[in-house]
Amino acid sequence: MTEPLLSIRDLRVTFATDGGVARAVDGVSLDLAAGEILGLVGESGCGKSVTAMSVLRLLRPPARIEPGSEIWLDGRDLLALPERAMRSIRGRRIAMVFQEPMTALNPVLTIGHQIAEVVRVHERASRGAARARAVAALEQVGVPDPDLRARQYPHQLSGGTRQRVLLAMALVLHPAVLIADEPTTALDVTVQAELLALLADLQRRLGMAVLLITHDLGVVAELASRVAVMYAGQLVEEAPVQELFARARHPYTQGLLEAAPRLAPRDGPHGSGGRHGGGAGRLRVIPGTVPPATAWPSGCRFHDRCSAAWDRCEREAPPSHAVDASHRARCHLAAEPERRAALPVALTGSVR
Amino acid sequence: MRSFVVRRLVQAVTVAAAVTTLTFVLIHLAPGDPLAGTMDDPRVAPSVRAHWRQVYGLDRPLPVQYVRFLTGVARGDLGFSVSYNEPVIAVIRRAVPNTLMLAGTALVLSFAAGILIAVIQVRREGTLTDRALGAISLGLYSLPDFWLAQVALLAFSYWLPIFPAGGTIDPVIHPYLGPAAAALDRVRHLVLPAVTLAALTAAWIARFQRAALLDVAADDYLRTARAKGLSEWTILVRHALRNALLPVITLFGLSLSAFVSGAVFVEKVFGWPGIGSVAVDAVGARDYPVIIACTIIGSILVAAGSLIADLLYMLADPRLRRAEGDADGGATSAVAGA
Amino acid sequence: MTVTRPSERGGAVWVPVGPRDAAPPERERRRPAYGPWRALWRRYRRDQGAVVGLAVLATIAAIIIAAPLLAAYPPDVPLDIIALKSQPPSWLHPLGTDPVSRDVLSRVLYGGRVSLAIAVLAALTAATVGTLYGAIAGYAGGAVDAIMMRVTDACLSIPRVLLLLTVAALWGRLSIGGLVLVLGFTGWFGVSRIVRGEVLALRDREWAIAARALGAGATRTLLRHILPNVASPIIVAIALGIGNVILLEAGLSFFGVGVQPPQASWGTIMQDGADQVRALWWLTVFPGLAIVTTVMAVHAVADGLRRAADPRSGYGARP
Repeated sequence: MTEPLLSIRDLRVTFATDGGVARAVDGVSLDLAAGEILGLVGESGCGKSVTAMSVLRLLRPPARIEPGSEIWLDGRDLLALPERAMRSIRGRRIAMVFQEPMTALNPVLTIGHQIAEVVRVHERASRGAARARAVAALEQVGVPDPDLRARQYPHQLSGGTRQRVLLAMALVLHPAVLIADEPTTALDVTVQAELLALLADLQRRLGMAVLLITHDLGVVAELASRVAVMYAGQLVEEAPVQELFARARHPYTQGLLEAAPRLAPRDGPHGSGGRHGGGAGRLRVIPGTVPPATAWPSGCRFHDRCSAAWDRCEREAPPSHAVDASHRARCHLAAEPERRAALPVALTGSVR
Repeated sequence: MRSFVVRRLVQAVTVAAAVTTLTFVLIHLAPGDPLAGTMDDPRVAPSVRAHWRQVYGLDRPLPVQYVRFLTGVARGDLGFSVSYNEPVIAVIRRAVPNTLMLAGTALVLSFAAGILIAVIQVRREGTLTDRALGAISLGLYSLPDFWLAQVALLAFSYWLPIFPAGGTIDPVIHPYLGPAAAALDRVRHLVLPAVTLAALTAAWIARFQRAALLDVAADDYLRTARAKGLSEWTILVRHALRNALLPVITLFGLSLSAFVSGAVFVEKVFGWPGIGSVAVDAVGARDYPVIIACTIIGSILVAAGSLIADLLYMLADPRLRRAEGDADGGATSAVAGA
Repeated sequence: MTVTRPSERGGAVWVPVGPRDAAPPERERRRPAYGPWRALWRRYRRDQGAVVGLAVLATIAAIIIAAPLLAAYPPDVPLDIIALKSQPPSWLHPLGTDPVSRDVLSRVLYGGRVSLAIAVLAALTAATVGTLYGAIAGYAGGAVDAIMMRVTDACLSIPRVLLLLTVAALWGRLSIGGLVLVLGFTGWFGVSRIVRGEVLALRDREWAIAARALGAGATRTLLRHILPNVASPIIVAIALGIGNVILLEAGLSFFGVGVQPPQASWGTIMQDGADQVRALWWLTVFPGLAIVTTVMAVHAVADGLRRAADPRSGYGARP
């Protein structure tokens, strides 16, 4: 197996809050290979955005990356780099796109200026040359009339266009890694589809690795080659995308997959009783809510919401078991196949 | 844009009219005869008194007087000063440039210093530097202006005789100085009063600018800038400050009135012959036309400055300009005027 | 006041309406455990500067109120026009004596009463006038509001000191009461704008509309529902107003246009020493220090109030 491009090892991030220390990210290890799209999935508050921000060291106090965490790129631990070296990585080797295109651009500077700024900061380019590259980047992300747009201000652009601009800003220096934190969440559905297609296309053309963070399984299904699922600050499952959708092993993942709304009910036009609770397509939800990061539950953090839990789950935190060569799950069930076999069908995760 | 300028000009004129009306009302509300002070001088013959009464229209009904007053001000006829023995307009014409020079210099100095202090405070937020600067700001902001002027005079004119003790120029030597030396002489006389006035305002501006910067500090585009690999200073100055300056420009407009007020006492202590000194002297000398004229002129200056501030704001905030290609249906995020 | 709302299972659910009506009627007399004022105080307490400011202010106020007890001499009686004229600070006279041989310490103490009283009363006057004006403008809206605010804007353009000088010139010597009124009536413009803005915003909130829908008249809605929510900015404005008026009164008195001698105020004491600032430095320095300390404390308190009233979520207090 080739050396991964970006390697996160045992990342722990804490926040000092009024209610205690919040362990937002608690021992996450991830590998991102060159040219692959890794989807990082989870509910709000599971720590995926914090993980992403840690890679570029964009977190500020009271957030703290605990010692013992490592993030490797090009054979260097990013967390040990001096700030100046880190700055040369940001925007050049690793770029990041955020969720809110409406507020992510400086309202008093032109689009062209903001994109050209990336070029001028990292390379010795003249104003004219940098601007030309900015316009070229706009064209590459499919912004019509790029020269005009470069002279405009953010408030003159729509949300979809702004997100394209942010992509252009991220990609103008052809970084090796793109971290996209919920890039389409704030956009209309049609615009979402366009942007995802654009992202897929750019990734193919530029051959960069993408860490795609989202709570939307549909997005993951469309773009990602591998998926990692986070819950309560930890990775609970990791698998190639097809494998995850077909044979999810962690009850949380199964719950997420079940909870995705569908147009047609599962068992015929009127649904059946029993496991669907009657009526056509009542959404299956995961009972309970995400616990606060200051007080993760004991043992397996999902045990109080898991329908397959038993006493071991409350006592003992499960390690990450290898279900397959490329499939891991943090669940005791993975180590106890007999117990798994005894569960009702609904809980074994045979989901279409 | 043009309609905006026109509207604001109209507003400035309205202000002038309003102030004139207000002063008229005050004059006639006040006990006693507006001319009483000046005309009490026993050397004034009754016929002269009657004549001036007629000239001032004091024998006419009130509405007529009002109209005469208003038109007089509009024409520039602000009455006659008995303490200077010349038309008030001449007194004003001499005094206004001095005030403009002092206030203008002080404004520039105070904004420069205030913004600089605020930037340093935010860059070093939470450290001793931040708190020390904050305490100094609070202190300066709490000083009586005339007191600071006196202390400044004491310190830098008596104990450490660096600067002259008042006035705009050296009364004795100035006529004999060559152009460069004459300019230097003026500058030397300007320093203490301008710095005094600036110090008081700078503290205030620093507080507001700091608050504005901290307000902006949570904005998303700063996170984007950081992700691009920019240094903290660049982010602070080129991104945050550019946005945080906007409320301060608004503040500039609103603060002019206080600024002119502060200038009054400072001018008097330093013997700086501007509107402020003239006004204070006029009160003592019961020279009503002069003090009234000073108030009207002062208000007009403030209105004019406020207009300039609003224009500056419009230039600085691209969201308020009508630019090319607005057809994208993008948000006209109208910044609601204060 | 409650309103019925159909519940999902049929039948009615009684829903309380309006901010003051969270408790059912029989519990109205009892204070809630964490009312808004308690919460304000708790937040205020966390700010060190503000707490220090409040302590200093309280100390100054206490000292000044206790002036008759603390002052060794009366403030307006020449003690010994020959031997004690213009004496520098000494054990007997810690702040020295003035050219008329009055004890400066006593004058500073009694003068403080005058200066502070004027400041507090003027600030309250300004706040009252401004609040009424702003509330009416904000509540009425439309043309009335526009006209009223135009007037305020015009008034805001007039430099306050010049206006005060004009009034002083026209009216001659002002009594202390007159001074309070004049200072108050020249300082309400800013408050009115703030109050108008808040009232305008709050007028169309659901609970205000609900109050009106249930029959509360305009006055009642304003007074009992809207204004209590505007209390914090008004209080901050009062605090700032006090600071400003202390400075203003000192200046006016110093130039002979405010409090008249021989009445002691911090400004008039400085006026006594104005001719010989170098020689009689104590007449300038001590009242000045008193003013600076008091105003700094007032500003610290105002800052603390402002921060406490507008808590930003996140990492620590922002100014």
